[in-house]
Amino acid sequence: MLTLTAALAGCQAEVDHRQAAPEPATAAINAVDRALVADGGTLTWGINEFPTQWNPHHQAGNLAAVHTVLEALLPIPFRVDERGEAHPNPDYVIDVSVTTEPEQVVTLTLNPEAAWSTGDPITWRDYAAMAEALSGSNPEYQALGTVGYDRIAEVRKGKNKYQVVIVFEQPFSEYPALFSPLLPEEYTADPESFNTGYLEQIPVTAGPFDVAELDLVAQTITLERNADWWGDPARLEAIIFRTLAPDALDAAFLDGSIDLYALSLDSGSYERIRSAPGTEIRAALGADYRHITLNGQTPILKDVDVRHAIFLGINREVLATAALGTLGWEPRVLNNRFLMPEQPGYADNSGEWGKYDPDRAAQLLEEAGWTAAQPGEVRTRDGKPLTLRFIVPQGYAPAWEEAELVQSMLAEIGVDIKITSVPGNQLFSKYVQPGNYDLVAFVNSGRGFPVFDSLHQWLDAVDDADGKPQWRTNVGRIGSPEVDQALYGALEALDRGTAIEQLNKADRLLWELGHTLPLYQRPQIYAVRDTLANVGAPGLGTLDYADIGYVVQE
Amino acid sequence: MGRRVVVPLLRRVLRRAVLLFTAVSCVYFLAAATLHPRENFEAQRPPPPPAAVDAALDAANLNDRTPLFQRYAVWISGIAVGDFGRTWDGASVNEELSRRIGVSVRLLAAGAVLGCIGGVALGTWTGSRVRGSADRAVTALSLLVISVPVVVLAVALQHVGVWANQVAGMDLVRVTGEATPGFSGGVGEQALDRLRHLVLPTLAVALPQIALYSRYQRSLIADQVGAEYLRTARAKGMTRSQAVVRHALRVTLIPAAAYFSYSLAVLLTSTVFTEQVFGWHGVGEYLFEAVGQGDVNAVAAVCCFGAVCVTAAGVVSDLVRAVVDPRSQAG
Repeated sequence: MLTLTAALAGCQAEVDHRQAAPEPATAAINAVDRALVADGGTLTWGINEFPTQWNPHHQAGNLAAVHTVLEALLPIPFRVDERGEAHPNPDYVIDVSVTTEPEQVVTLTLNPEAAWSTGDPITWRDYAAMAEALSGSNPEYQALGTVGYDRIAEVRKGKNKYQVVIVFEQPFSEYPALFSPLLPEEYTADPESFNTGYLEQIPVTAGPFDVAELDLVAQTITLERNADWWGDPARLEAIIFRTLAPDALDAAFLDGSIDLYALSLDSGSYERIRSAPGTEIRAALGADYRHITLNGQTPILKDVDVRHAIFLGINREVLATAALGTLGWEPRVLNNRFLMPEQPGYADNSGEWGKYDPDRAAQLLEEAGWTAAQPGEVRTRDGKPLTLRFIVPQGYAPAWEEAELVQSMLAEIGVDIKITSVPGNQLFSKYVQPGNYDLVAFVNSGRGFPVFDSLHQWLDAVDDADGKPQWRTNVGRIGSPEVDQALYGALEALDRGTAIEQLNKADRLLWELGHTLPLYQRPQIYAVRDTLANVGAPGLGTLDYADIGYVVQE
Repeated sequence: MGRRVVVPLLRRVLRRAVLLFTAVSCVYFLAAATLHPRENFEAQRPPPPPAAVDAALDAANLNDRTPLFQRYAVWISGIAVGDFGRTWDGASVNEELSRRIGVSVRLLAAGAVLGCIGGVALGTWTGSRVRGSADRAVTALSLLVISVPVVVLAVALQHVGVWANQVAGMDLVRVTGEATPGFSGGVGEQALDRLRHLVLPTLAVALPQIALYSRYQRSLIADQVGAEYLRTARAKGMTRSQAVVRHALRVTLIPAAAYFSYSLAVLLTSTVFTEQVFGWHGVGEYLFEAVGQGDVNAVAAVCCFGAVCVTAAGVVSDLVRAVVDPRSQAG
């Protein structure tokens, strides 16, 4: 199949020079110095969902579209570069100092020019109120999560109101992930304002852009350049976000009605769009990755050898090719659950468990007592067949195809996979979360702060009042005190080197425990007008919306 | 209209109201029993704390751990005062639904009118020359349009639109949305902009309607063509066309109107594909999205709206018959 595609691409090379997408990059945003970006212009940006709740820290506000829009509007104290390193964002924070004795104290010196759209300056009080709201101490706040905030002892005023002193009860190395984005005190000081203040509206902002209109009928959001902005002024005059269903996004782009949107690899969109005139496909790899999770508490998968046999029996390169083949990229599997290859410190911790080795897998099963009369037959132990249930959400064809590939690979080592399709709107609540499955594949998404993003997915069970283990959000239901120790070690190590060391240790332990087989990074793919600069697929990084614009035409 | 018309009419309205109540109650039970709003929270990695999820679900009367009848009681007492409750993410269902009804009406009005008039005209024309070559050609074409799924027709029209714009080198039609966002111009320019957005979806709505109605109208007319009174009319010197239009058409409009009013009522909540392909955020898309998100209150509200539309269509067609058809006064 690949060869055929390549051959076809070769035939058409004279007609179109962009047949294969560019090889994965750390970021693909057409980075251009802002001096070379034209002043003015409107960018129409296609999104596929119209959020109701615009508070990104609210349970119902954790949507991609919310983050896409708010990054132009709300303060982000730390920017992340394309290697996943955080740096203070001088538009809001001009200095950061960290002390560790006797406890961790992070002192942020705020940009005194920074002000909310109400005219009020951004001060320590905004940070203090938000830390309190997200600490989890008041359940009335319908907060998304409390990781990090629950480790803050207090937030107080420094030498003046433009200095924030954050005192941590327990050390927290990923503090740049906090307060991103920051909300004004007015909307975090009480639960009612927090829960409903940003409902169907974006009342207060403090970014290079302002909200001009939120149209609930047409489902568009119009932003215009903020005249009171204290930083480098936005190059674009306006950004209009338009909500359209996936097919309509394609048509709107071809029609010139939108200039930029995220493409889905799973549809025919990529094929349809990539040869359109004046179009550039910008693709990069970020922190999102796909994986297969095994349920470590089912009778069969309780045995670590069986889990390892499954790891060895799955050819991950084939799965990566099936998913990313359309792009023409070399398949690259991921061998780390916490750090991406683009990040410093990435290491392949898979050891003996990351290679495709069906013979070794068969041997492991044999030793675990799962035997078959003939190779290729379903193995049995004590008369019970080695049958596992792979659940896939209905109506999502790529997941089904992926499960079929796994099914045929594992059949070779005598493991019978029964693919069960379940309603997409019950996948997690009825199957994954209660542990009612054997295998499931889904995507871990993150922002490049590995512990902040996924801590609870790996933590060991905690006994409840009746002494029954509670796995909470560790849906693989596998854990060990050593993993916990390494993760907390990473969380507490303020020295980057030690944190990386601990993360790799945790990852190595998880390979040894047979907890979750990482597959490949999910690419970010955007169709973009080729004259647009500083926007597209940011990889691990954060976009600077003030620099987005059209390249000056010679 | 005297008592003899009004009393049975009222009785029928009352009967429909009871039917409506039963229907919406069934819809609520069905939606509440099969949809899973909890998934919106549980599918987040990591999911919010369980207590917070329950609190959020309780706030919208969506908690599957509350007994179904208790949820129904809360819901129906809201309906009694015209409140359809809130979506899982906290928006007012009433407000969203009324916005979307506006969009659907604007999207469908032109197409529906075009569909009715076109269907009747085409059906009358072919019905009076059954098995002629024109009739065969129209029959083949309408069967083709009827058998093509609406989504395919809509996407095909959209492709044609993009292609036409490219060939013309200018924006003749716009393929998505109701109006250009941020468009500034005079009233005339705004109207033209809206018109350019309306052309393709109107065709996508009208073509299947024309095809379907024309089949129905054709057979109604064909039944009349051999009738005694038409022969009399022709004997008096009318041409075939005159006789059909003046006499047969009138007779057929009574069953046609009933049929149209029901199918238009259904149309309002069922044009999800046309809405999604052309990027209009109407009622059909609302139902589709709400089902996907397990949003019980929104699903129930759209279904209620659909039931009200069908009931209203029934009342309208009763009314039309009572006024137009002399026979109904005798019964």
